[in-house]
Amino acid sequence: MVRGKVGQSTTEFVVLGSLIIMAFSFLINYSEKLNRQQSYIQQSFRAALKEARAANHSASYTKVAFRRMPNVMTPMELGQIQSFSGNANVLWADGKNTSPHGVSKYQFNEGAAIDIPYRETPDEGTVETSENKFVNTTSSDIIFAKQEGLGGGIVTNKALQARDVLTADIDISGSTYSFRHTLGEGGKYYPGDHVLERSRSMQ
Amino acid sequence: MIKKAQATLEFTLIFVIIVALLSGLLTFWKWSSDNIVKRQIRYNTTRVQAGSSTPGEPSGSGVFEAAPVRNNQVYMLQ
Repeated sequence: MVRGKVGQSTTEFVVLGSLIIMAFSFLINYSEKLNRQQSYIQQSFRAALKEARAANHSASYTKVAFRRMPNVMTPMELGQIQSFSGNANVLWADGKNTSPHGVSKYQFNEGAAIDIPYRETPDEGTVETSENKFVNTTSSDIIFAKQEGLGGGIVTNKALQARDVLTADIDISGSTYSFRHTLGEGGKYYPGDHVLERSRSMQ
Repeated sequence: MIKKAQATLEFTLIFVIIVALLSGLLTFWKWSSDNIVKRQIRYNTTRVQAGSSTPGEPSGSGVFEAAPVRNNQVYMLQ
């Protein structure tokens, strides 16, 4: 009878605990998303301002970024991927010696911004569609090491080495641009080869 | 009697764990919302500085005579 009750309370605790951690996970991800979205909006405006000032004209700046969110339920695994974007149009000119057209830039992840060539305004009523393709290829190793010392101390170490390659074909203003970025520090994607490493040890 | 004690122990244990989890959650939530406010304040206070410097500075605009923008200032809000 007593054994049965212990089992029941354990089951209740497991169910309740999982629900609480799930709620945790949702709230942490949500607040992280709000923070990062605000950051990207501000960054894109500052970048547009800088480009407009340099060009002495109007500038349009678009930043699109993918990021891995924190994994609350299982910290030693990759979190879910989220996309963020910010766009700003700024006119910052003194009206002297200006070029006929402003500049337009597009930045994908942490790569350098690319110039979008000027196009004539399409005829009224023209509809353009674009097809973008994003492919993530992930692989990860989780290493668990336990070391027992002669003095009785036990040190455990858990480490994650994750590789995530994001290839993207993006249609920007009628042309397709290809990107190959890899997951690196801070859950961001960078050009080149990177590995996300995370470790935790306990004594 | 023993069963009552068991229930009290279980309740105490779960209560302590839930309080600890909730306080952690509230602390994190406050830290996160404070970040949004601080980032916005930093953004607002550096706005004039970010828009000043040549070329492109509107002539005679004394308001925009702050230090020129450094390239890395674009990324300081990350």
